[in-house]
Amino acid sequence: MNFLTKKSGAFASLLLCVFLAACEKEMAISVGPNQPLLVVEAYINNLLPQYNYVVLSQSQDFFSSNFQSTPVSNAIVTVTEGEYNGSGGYLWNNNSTVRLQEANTDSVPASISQGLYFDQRLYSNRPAALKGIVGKAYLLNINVAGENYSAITRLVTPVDIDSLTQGFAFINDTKDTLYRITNHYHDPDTLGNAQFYFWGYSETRQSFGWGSFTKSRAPGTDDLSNGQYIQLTHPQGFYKTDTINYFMASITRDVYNFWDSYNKAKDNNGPFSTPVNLLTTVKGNNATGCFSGMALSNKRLIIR
Amino acid sequence: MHRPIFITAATRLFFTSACIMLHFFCAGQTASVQLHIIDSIGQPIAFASIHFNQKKCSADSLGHASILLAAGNYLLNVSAVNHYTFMSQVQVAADTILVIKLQGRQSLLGNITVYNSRNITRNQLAVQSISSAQLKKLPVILGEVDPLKTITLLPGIKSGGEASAGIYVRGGGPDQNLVLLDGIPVYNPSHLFGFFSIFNGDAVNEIEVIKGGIPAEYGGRLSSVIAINSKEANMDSVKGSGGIGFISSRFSLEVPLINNKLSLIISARRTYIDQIAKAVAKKRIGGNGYHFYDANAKLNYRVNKNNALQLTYYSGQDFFDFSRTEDGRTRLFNTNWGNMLAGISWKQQITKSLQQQTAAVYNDFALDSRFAFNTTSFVFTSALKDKQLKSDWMYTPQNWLRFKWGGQYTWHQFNPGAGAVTTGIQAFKSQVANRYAKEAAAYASAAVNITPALNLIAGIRYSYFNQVGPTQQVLYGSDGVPTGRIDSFKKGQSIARYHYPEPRLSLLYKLSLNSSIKASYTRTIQYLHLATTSGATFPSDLWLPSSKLIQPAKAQQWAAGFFSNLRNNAYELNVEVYYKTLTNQIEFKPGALLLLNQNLEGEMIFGKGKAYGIEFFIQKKKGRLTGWIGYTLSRAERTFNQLNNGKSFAYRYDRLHDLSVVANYPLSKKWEAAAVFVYGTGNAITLPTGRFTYNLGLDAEDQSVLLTNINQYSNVNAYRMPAYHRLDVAFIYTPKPMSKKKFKSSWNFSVYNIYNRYNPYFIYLDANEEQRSIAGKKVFLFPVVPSVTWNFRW
Repeated sequence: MNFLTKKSGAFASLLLCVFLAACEKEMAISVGPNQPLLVVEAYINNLLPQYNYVVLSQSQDFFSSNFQSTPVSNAIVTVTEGEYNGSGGYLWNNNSTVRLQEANTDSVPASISQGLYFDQRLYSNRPAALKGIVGKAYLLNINVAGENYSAITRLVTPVDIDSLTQGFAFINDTKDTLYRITNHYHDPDTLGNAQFYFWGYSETRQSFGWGSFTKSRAPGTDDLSNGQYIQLTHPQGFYKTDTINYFMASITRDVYNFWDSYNKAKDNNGPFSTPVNLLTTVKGNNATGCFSGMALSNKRLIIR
Repeated sequence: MHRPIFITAATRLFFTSACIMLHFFCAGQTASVQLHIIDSIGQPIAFASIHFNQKKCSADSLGHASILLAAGNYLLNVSAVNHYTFMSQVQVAADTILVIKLQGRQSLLGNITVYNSRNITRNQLAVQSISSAQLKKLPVILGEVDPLKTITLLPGIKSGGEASAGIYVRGGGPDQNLVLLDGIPVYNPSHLFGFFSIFNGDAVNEIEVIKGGIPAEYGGRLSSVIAINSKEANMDSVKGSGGIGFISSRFSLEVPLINNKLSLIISARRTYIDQIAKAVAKKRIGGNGYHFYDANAKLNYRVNKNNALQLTYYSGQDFFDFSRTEDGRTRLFNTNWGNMLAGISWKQQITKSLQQQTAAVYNDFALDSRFAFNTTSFVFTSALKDKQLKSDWMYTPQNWLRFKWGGQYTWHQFNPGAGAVTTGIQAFKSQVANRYAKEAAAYASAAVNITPALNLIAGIRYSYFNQVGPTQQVLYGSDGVPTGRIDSFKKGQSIARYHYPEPRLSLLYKLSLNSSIKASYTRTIQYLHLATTSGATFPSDLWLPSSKLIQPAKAQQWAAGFFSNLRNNAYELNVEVYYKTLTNQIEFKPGALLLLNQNLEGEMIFGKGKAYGIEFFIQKKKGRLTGWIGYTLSRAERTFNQLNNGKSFAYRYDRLHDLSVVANYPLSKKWEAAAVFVYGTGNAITLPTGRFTYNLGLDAEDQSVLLTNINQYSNVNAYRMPAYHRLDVAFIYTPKPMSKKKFKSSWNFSVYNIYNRYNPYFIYLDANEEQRSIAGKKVFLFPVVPSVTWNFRW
């Protein structure tokens, strides 16, 4: 009887393995030739001048062994301020044009300085450095080896953060209590608002770049919540005494669409996924990326 | 003067065919002859008396009879009360199925013998059927007989791959098949994410697929009609059958409620993989699990010899529960989905040449899903309900002339998605407004024998569709931003109205007694569209009506074929070619959000497609070894302005080569063997050709660069997955085949994928940034899978 029970148990286990656990094998795959793309990562915001920068890189063959960025150096990169007329037209102020230079300075770690373009006044005359102004539009022009590229973005009116609170505590596997943060704000009555939510905290205090904040960028729209009072709880847990530097970025819809596609494109494997090409706001041949105008509002919270 | 001569000739042709069909091959061999006796409206005739010379048997209450005969010549005599006697000389050669249609006493027509294979004389291209008996003789995976999976062994009908619910007929999409259970449309025909169909093999009598030359009485889908006829109950005695398999058990009970008047069959099936899992690994499995059940019921009432009523009911549900808490974070996923179908039909023989069938059907497909992780949860529901009335008439004034006409009206109610997203204490609710539509069609067709050799069926179907209120539609701008305006429609107010003629034409020319050629033209219109995120029709199936933006999908198909029976009907050979064009095909933009999206139509793109191919089918029907070989050489492609730079690309299920070999062989009286081999060109998929980094950051603590790798794609569906092939075998053991006892049982020992081919379910490219390595990987579901099923009946 015991024997039968053991056998049937083993058999059922085998069946379960067959049924529930798919198996995986390596296989040789040869994909077609790749057309290199110029990849543009550009930002302008109203609060953090050192975070107004442009990263230029190039795409590579899928099976390339280089897992780092392939920087594009020696580009001519300019940003021009202007006005948006509300109906798709722009009036650019050519006197405002700022040339961004590749960051070959000691203040930027060498590991990321190539292909990273800053307003050099950040180091010589910080108050005069490029800084976004709410309500203004910005034109990014790039010239790489004689090829021109451009992108436009705007800084919309930022939505204020009413308060930032802690709650929804949970205990993790090491028995520590962690706390989640909730952002309270009032969505404007106008439909079509979109936001990102970023936060830095003790662990990331010394880090640099938008990519050092939360990776998901958690973009959201008010399609389902127009005009409501929003209380948005983020899943990440924080320890007591953590200081959270929280930013809410109000963005235009095309910037939202780009980062939404980024979120879909970055985790894009498995049977139920479909290939997602990153959307682009960059004009020019064989280019992708986004010029992200972000109107920031900010709060700090110390977890107690 | 021609007509009477033709009637005589036609009748002789039938009887001659009967003799040829039963031609005696092997002296001294015994053969099983199965007979199905039916009347002019297809209803079984109970208790017909059957004589093969002096050997006698009777049909049961379902008109079925079976007799073992030594090979030889026989005079077949079939008689039944109020029907003309059928007599014919037959030669019994091998196992054979005969369908004999007896004419009522009032009829002036002679009796007609219809053979299982009517490929030569039936003016219908691209039709194939598989009986319940054939289904049960084939190898099965995990012991489950699956009619829908089995039809993919026929040429021109392809499955999406292992564990895929989709059926792709001649380059069409999975939503382009009109799946009917006793005439009731089925919107989601699969269980377990596509692993199994909802059709319990015990409850199915026959499955028939029409791939082209679709008759005028069918419409609403572009590519095919898949008609499943469920089993009818025995009229005179209680009978039962069932099976116990690895993952499920099933049971059927046939009860005569009023002898020879009223009968009921109930079939039920339930999986117990959840219970096994809990018994074996309770701690690990916890409350997680999956199961499905389905139940079929059919009530037959013979009102009198000219009227019959039939009530069909089906209910099936899938349940999936998963929850896990890890590192203090909870993940939860509960979902259930299923169909409920009900229909009543009335068949009537009004006069000797006029008959009608009127039916009222109702179906309800519903999906309810709940997802939760951390502080965020989603609730999503979707449903589609249909109420349909239809009436079909047939008038046969002469043997050489037949008219069909009728109409149908369907009221559709779409619930394209209601849901809520909760993050912490905030709830975002979305109710995509219900949509309603009226769909109607009227048709007429005439079948005429222009000459004894030439038959023409000309038909026209006129379909009408009107999406109506009450509903509200949120209006979006071209940039995807809500405009803040809402269009409101009153109850019954027309929103989008379409109507099209759908001509159908079929020609048959008999080259000889054993061969014919056929040609057909079909235009079909489809007003309903399936929006799904993946190959698996789970968990976000949304059926949407045609609207202002979504135009009805249209297809035209031209087909021609050569049909021949060889070597005294031992072999059946069919060769068909087809060319199909598709317009208003729908795709979703890459990365489209389908759940709770008020702007679903804004996520769609529209294109066209075409498919063409040649299909070969050769079947051996006599002798110890029986089976078939089906081969399709075909192409299917799509063109969308917004995809692939507007260039045509291979449809995902474009399959240049598709081969199926099916064989049955009786080893002895107790043992029978069966084997299935399938081979198909791999699916066309899109793989990245390049990659780049984005979202630059620097981790100051360890001075590491923070980057996210993003894939770059070039041509759509430019990569071919490895070819799919496998061999399955089955051995059916009947311990007491000659037993006189009522209770009979048999064992089905199946081995799926016997040479353990790793057919990929999906493949992906795994870029490991830490190890700086890239590898192609394939995930496969079913290595070699043995199974045992015990089947019984009494």
